[in-house]
Formats: sequence, structure tokens, C-alpha cells
Amino acid sequence: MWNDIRIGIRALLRYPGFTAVAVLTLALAIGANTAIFTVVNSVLLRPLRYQEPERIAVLLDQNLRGGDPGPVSPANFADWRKQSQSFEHMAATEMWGATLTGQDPAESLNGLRVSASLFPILGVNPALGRVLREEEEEPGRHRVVVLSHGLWQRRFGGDAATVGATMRLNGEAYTVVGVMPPEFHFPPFWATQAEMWVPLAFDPERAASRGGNSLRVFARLKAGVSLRQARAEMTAIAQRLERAYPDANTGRGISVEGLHDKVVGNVRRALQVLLAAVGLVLLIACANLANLLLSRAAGRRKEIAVRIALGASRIRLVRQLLTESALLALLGGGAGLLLAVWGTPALLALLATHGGARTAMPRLQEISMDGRVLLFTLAASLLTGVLFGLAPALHAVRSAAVQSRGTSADRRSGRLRNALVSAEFALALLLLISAVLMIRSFHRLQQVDPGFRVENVLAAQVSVRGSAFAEGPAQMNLFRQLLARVEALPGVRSAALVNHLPLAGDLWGATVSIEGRPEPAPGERLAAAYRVITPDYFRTMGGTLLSGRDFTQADTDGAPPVAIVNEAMLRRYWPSLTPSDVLGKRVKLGASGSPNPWSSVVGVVKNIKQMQWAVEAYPEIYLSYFQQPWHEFGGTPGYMTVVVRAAARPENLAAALRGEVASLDRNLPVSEAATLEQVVADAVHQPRFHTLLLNLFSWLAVGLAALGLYGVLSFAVTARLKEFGIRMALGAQRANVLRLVMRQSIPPLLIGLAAGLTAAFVLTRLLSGLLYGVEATDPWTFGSVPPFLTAVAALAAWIPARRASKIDPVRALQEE
Amino acid sequence: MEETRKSLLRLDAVTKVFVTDEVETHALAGIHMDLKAGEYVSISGPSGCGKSTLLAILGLLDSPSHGSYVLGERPVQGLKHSERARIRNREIGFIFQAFNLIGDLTVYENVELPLTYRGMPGAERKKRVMEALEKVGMVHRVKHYPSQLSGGQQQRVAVARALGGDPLILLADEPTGNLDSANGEAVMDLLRELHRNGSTICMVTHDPRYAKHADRTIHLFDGRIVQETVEAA
Repeated sequence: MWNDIRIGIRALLRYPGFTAVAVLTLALAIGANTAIFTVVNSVLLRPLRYQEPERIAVLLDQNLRGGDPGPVSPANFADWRKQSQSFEHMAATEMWGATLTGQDPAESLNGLRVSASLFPILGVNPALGRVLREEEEEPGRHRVVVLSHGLWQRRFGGDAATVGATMRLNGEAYTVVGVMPPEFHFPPFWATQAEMWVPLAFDPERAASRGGNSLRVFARLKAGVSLRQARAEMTAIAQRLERAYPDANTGRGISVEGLHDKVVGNVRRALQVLLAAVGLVLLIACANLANLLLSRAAGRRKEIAVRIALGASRIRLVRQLLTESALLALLGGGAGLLLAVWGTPALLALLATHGGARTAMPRLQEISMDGRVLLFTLAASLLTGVLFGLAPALHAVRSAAVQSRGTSADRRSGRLRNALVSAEFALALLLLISAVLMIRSFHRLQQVDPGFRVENVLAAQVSVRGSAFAEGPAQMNLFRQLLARVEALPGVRSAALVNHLPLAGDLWGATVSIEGRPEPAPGERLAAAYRVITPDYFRTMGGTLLSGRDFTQADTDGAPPVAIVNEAMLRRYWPSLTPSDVLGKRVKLGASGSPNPWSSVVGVVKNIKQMQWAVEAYPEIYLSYFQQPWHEFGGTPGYMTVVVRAAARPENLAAALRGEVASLDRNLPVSEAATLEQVVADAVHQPRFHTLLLNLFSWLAVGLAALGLYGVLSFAVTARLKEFGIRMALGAQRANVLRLVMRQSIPPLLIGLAAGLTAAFVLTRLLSGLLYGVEATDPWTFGSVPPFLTAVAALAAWIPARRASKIDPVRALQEE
Repeated sequence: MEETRKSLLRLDAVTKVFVTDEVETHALAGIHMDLKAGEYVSISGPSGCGKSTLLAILGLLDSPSHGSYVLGERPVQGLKHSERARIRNREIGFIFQAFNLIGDLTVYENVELPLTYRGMPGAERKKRVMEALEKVGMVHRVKHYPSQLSGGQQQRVAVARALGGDPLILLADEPTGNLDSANGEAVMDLLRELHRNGSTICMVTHDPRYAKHADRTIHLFDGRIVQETVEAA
């Protein structure tokens, strides 16, 4: 074996050009595979960093009529926990934000309120101190906090004495009881920026509530209980709850999903597609190398014939040739690994968002190479070596043996070469069609009208939690002053406030009532999203008023309550009315019997995107921040987002905005400052990433396929040099020879295109879930990509064909 | 009688110099040659004397470095590639030592090949191909591939291919070089027969036995014509 390796190394060194091309081809293909596998391994394959993570489930409320599962109410959660037998522990969690004060600078922190049982469910011990205790879920005893390692390092310098110390959150003193280890992140989806965990303590009224769904539930399955069994049990519980509390639970089920599936479910298909894409690139590279080896084997036929004559067995010769291809593959794999080491950070940079955690790749912070990636690269390299080496090795030995008997195996070799080129074009076509579908889909996404103008708008969240401005009039005064100061800044055209910025912030929904509309049946309700804004919000965002008016400074507490609705609300609840007809209609948050006052509709606006870029807007009601009723319904907000339309680049205003906030109170943190352009970029971040990579891989595939055709035709030209000389001697014009060679590329190309189109027609359906506004069998794509690929093939064929047409017939006739 | 025949090709002071790595090799030096229509000339000489170079120039596969070459009545030494190809196709028939049939084409297709470059209609091509094959006695092998024929048969097909276009001149480069003596004799008989029927033939050979078949033998040495021998009728 060692002898084979030694001879193999010598053979590779003897043909440095061939070796370099082969290693480079492999490095690109294996490097791309390694980089993508690093992401797939970290996100899809590596277990979550909790104890026995496969036993952790996520439980959510499910509308049986459709839609995504959503949060659950406190009373329903309590019943789920009490009645279920499938789980060891069940915990509820709720998003929570707090302002850290008492140390400079004040900072708005993201955290979670969690049941104490969450920690046994996750099975992760703290690095310092302890986790939360059940008795701390009692109001009054709940002011304890567990910190993430990152927060502890950032704000407490990693001081062990932090445990036991107090920190001021929203103006209240919380005792730090523990610090989690550095690798601990929770939750791994939905609110991925949480840096602290406090007890979920309900007052009796909230604990008994079956409305205000805000909890996400996590549970650990008992040993031996499957998700299916748990689902069956929870379905029975949901049915019992429906009978017991029909108002809140009619038509509601319980979604039980493995945590891992919940975390990666949205990106699984996209990553699988990317992995398949790089796999195809590797196959194309293999076909290319097999072709190169076939060409080289033709040149070594005499050498192999001599070896056979000297008594070498076929197996011995095949082993020798396979050793050479394995060496090549290992060299390519090594270079590919280096490329991947360099490329993975670049991938991570592509994956990074400006701050939109919701649109970020899940488990992003866990993406890294590990032993499995190295093993994958090694296996891919060796498999590749066999894949591209075996057929040429067998062919070389067979044809050398045949030649030694005085006949030629060139025709069979030509067929194999053509078959490989066909395969390359088929795979390249499949990839290119997929990539073009993604490009067209992304183009459609970009053409989506968000309902606002993205350019020159800056947004930043100002938190008042725990400050002197936390409540009612003081808060309104503060924001009035802030708006006035911001509007006076040079370069500012207008400014306004909104509680949740579209596409970046949260989305609050509520039951709504419409005056004059019959009460909905039990289990049904009228619902709408609602947003709280100040005058000039639509002007600042660049929204479009379809009828009526914007809020004005007069829409304050003393004035009649007013509301603005979006177009989706008009279509859903007043389908026969025009935007002007709706003006004067009255709506209110809550059921019709609730004490909330009716608000008159004073305007209708064009839909503005809400949570997701590609999702149509739900019915939405806008309420005036300076009117009290919504405060009573939804609670005084702990923060508002300032939106500022600038005359030019809005980034330059961020510092001035922070300065104005600080001048009002230096303990008010300003966070999540971003331009609307960044917000929109984050919103289409994942499709952009998938499109970019699929494009990169498809172009690599097209390049390799073209190189493959070029290689085959170059070889054919060299092999047929004498024939071209004869033809020229007989009077063939250069154009005749050019056409002859070009024509040779047609059969493998046509077979490849036919196979590729068939494969694409079947396989692009797998992309359906990733496409927006484009069918997986989009006729334009299927009609335009094959001609394009044909043009690429023609170019690849033209170069050797031209060379053939330029040969010197005298020299060609002297060829052996 | 000989003097009244029309001149078919004429070389005046033709030289051919190959330059490689700044070394000049004079393959031909001041060749004067005149070939009449219907004449059968052989060119002989030792290896490296310039026979094949001379034949390549005569066949317009190569150009002289200096001197003039008149084929028919027109000078051809400075023609474009496409025009030279056209003349090769219509006015010159090649017979090679190694037969140079194309392995992927049948006997019929090999003979037909030069005619296809003329854009000749299919029926006319067929007529010419069959006539040419009949002349060389290979009609019964039209569907065979070269690898299915003996060397002598392959060379007969090559001769048919050269004849098919009805050229002004047949250029034969060691046509018996790859054949045994019996097949060699047969091919030489065939050429003699063609000559008797009016073909103009210029043949390169180093074998004196075959050179004697020609009306006239030109002896080359170091790129120069050192002797011309006229064979007795």
C-alpha cells in the first residue's frame, strides 16, 4: 500500500497542471460542502445544549381552523399542568423587558419570566449560585433574577460576588441568585436575545384569566412517553377545556412539538436545499475529475499495457489508480477544509442581521466546526476519490488490456465521457433553475409594497420602565417633549411615536367589537392587531391615508376617542363599504360588553406590513397614544419607539436622538436604533441568504459543467487532430471543422438538458415553501434557463472547436 | 509530342525555411519544377531530403518561404486559407502513406467526404463515389469501416477518395509505404492504370522500383533537385 502511495504521489507531481486543476476543483466543491455542513450540523443535527433535549416539548395554543400555534392563557396553562400525565415538568414563559438602572449606563434588557420548573426541564446547572425556586413564583417573593453569562460579564465584570447582590430592574431591587454557564441560551427560538430570567408570578386575577394569551409552555416528557402519546393526552385535555370553558376554548387545540423541531422547523427545508445544492456541485466536480482522469488514462494506456505485460493483475492496477485518485481527493479535501475554515466566518457574517432576532438563523451563536464536520470532510473526500476514480481506473485498465490485443476502446471511452458531461449539464441545469426560481422569488419579495417608504427613516426604542416617567401623564409629557425636541433637530422632517415598529417590534392582538355588528358565535371572535401611535406617524413612515384624517394634537384625553383602521380591517369587517363609508363607524378593544369606550373611525390607511414581510397584513386598529382608553386596556407601555424621517441619511441622527433623550433623563435607555432600510433588510434576511448561496453554488455548477464540456471537447480535439488534418487536406474549410467539433457537443448537451429539465420539474417542488409569488414550475424560468445554459455550452465548445479549426494540417497529418 | 502538352504546375525558385529556436533549416532550396498535364512524375531521395515538404507545398498544405507556384494558370503561393482549401478540394487529390481514412466513416462516406465540402448535391455525390469505387474495385465494400479492410483495400479506398473529386492532379506520398509487396504492386498498378487513362500524378517514393513506374523521376538531396531521370517508354 505504501508503495502505491509513493507511486501515486510521484504520478501527481509528474502532472502538476492536472494535479492543480483537480485539487482546486475539489477544494471548491468540498469546501462549499464543508461550510454548509458546518451550518447544517450546528443547526439541524447537533442536539440542543440541554439535558436529553429530545425529551423537551413546546406546547402552544392551536386554533383548529388553521394558523400557526400561539401563546396560551395563564388559566389554561394551569389546567394543562394539572391534568397532564405525560410530562415530568411543565413550565410557562413570558417575554419580559426591563431597564437596568443604578449603574451607568442605563440599559434596556431583554429577559423572560419563567416558571421555576423550567430549569429542571432544561437540565442545565448554573455556573454560579442557583436557579429559581418554586416559592419565588409567589408575588412579593419574585424579585430574584438569574443572569446569563454574557450579561454577568458585560455589566458585572464577571465578579463572583454578583450572586447575592441586588440590581435595579424597572426601578425595583432584584437579588441575583445565579449565573448560567456561557453556552446556555434560552429560549432557542422566538425571544432569542433573553439575558435574564425572573420568576413568573401571577396575581390571582391574572392567574385565573383565560384571555391575554402571552405564555409559551415548555415541558419534559416522562421517560418512555412519546410525543405522539403526549399529543393524544393533550388533545383530550383540550376537549375537556372546551367543554368546561367554551367561551375561551371552543375550536382550540393544543400543539405539542419537539423543541428541536420548533427551533429549526422554519429553516430545515432551506438548509436541506442548500446541502443538496452543494452535494450536486460535488457530484459535478466528480464528473469533471472523472473526465480528466479518463483523458489522462488515455495518455497512460501504454504505461498500463506495459504493467499488464509485466504481470500486474487488474485489481493491482485499479488499486494503484484508485490510490492516486484518493490522494487527489485528500489533497482537495484538505484544501477544501481550509477554504471552509475561511469561508464559515464569511457565512456567519452573511447570516448576521442588524438586530432582528426574529429573522435570524436559529442557533446562530452555536455554529462552529466540530469533530463531526471533520469526519464529514474526510468521508466526503474519500468517497469523492472513489466516485471520480473508480470508473476511469476500471476503464483505463480495461482499455489498456484491449489495446494490447490490437483493437481500440476509444468509442466506449467517448460514450463514458459524453455521459459524464450529460450528467454535469443535467445537475447544473437543476441547480440553475432552482437558483433562478429563488432569484425571481426574492425579486418579487423585494417588490412587495410594505405600505411605508423605507428611505431616510430612523427608529429607536426609548424605555421608561422603572423611571419617573413610567406612568400616565408623566410619560405622555416626556414623550411630547422628546418629540418636540427631535422635530427641532436639523435635518428632521417629521417625528412620531409607535409602540411597536412594523417588522421589528412585537404585534399585539385583541378581541375587538364593531358597533352594530351581531355578537359572534361562541368560540368565534372579531380580532385585530392594534398599534398605538402619535400624530404624524403615517407621514413619518410614508404611509398612505386612503380616507379621513391622521390623528392630531387635539386627539387627547378630553376629546372623543378616535381610531384609524387599515385596509385589511375594512375588507374583513366592512367588505361592502368604501374607505370613505367607514368614517364615523365605531370600534372598541375588547368584547362589546367591556367597559372600554367606543372609538370613532376617523381614517383608513393602506396596509402596513406587521410581523413578517411576506405575510399579508391582518386587520389593524391604530389608536392615539395621547388618549387614555387603550392604556386602561393594554397597560401603560414601558417603552415607545421614536420614528424620525430625515432629509438625508438618517443614521447621522442616532447620536442626536440619544442626546435629546439623555437631556431629558440620562437613565432612559435608547436601544434598537436602526434605519427602516436595516429593518427591511432583516425582514428578508433569510430568503436573501438562501438566494445568494444557491446562486453562488449554481454558478459554480455552471462553471464546472462548462469546464467539463470544454475538457471533453479539448480531449476529443487532441485525439482527432489527425482526422482534422485529413479533412483539411481534402479541402475542409476552417468553418467545416469548427462546426464538426461544435456538433459533437450537441448530443451530451441535449441529453443533459432533457434529464435536467425532468429532474427540475420534479425536484423544484421541494422549493415551494421557500418561494414567494413564483410557482416551482415557473414557465419563464423553465423556458429561459436551458437556452442560457446552451449558450454557455456553446462558448465552452467554441474554444476547443476554434483550436481545431486553426490546426496546421501538415503537422496534424504527422500525428501518430 | 511531350513539348506540346500544357504545363499544369510550375515552381520557380521555391524555398522553404523552417525556423525553430533561432535555428534555420532549409528544407527546400531553389526548386524549379514543371509538371505537364497527364504526366506521371515521381520524386525520390533519402529521408529528410525535402520530398514531403515539396509535396505539402504542391498540395497547398504548406506555403513556400520564397519563390512562385503556379497551378493551372494562376499563382497560388499567396492565397488565403479558405481559397487554398477550396483548391485542395477541387483540384488536388491526396493519397497518403498511412491511407488516412477516417475510422468512424464507412468506405462510402470516406470517399464522399471531399465532395460534401463542395456542397455537391447528394445524387451527384453518389454517382461520383460509386464511379470512383468502381475504378478501384471496391464497390462491394461500400458499407464497411476502414478497420474491416486490409491495408491494400484501405489504400484503394484512399485512391478512390482522391479520384472522386476529379482533380487536376493526384499527389501520392509513399503510397506503398505501409503495404506488403503484393499490395504495393497492386496499388502501383492502379496508379499506372489511372495514368494511362489521363490522370496527372506526382508521387513521392524512396523505393527505386516504384519510381520507375513514373515517366520522369526527380531526385532530391538536401532540398535541391540534383537529378532528373526520364524513364524509357
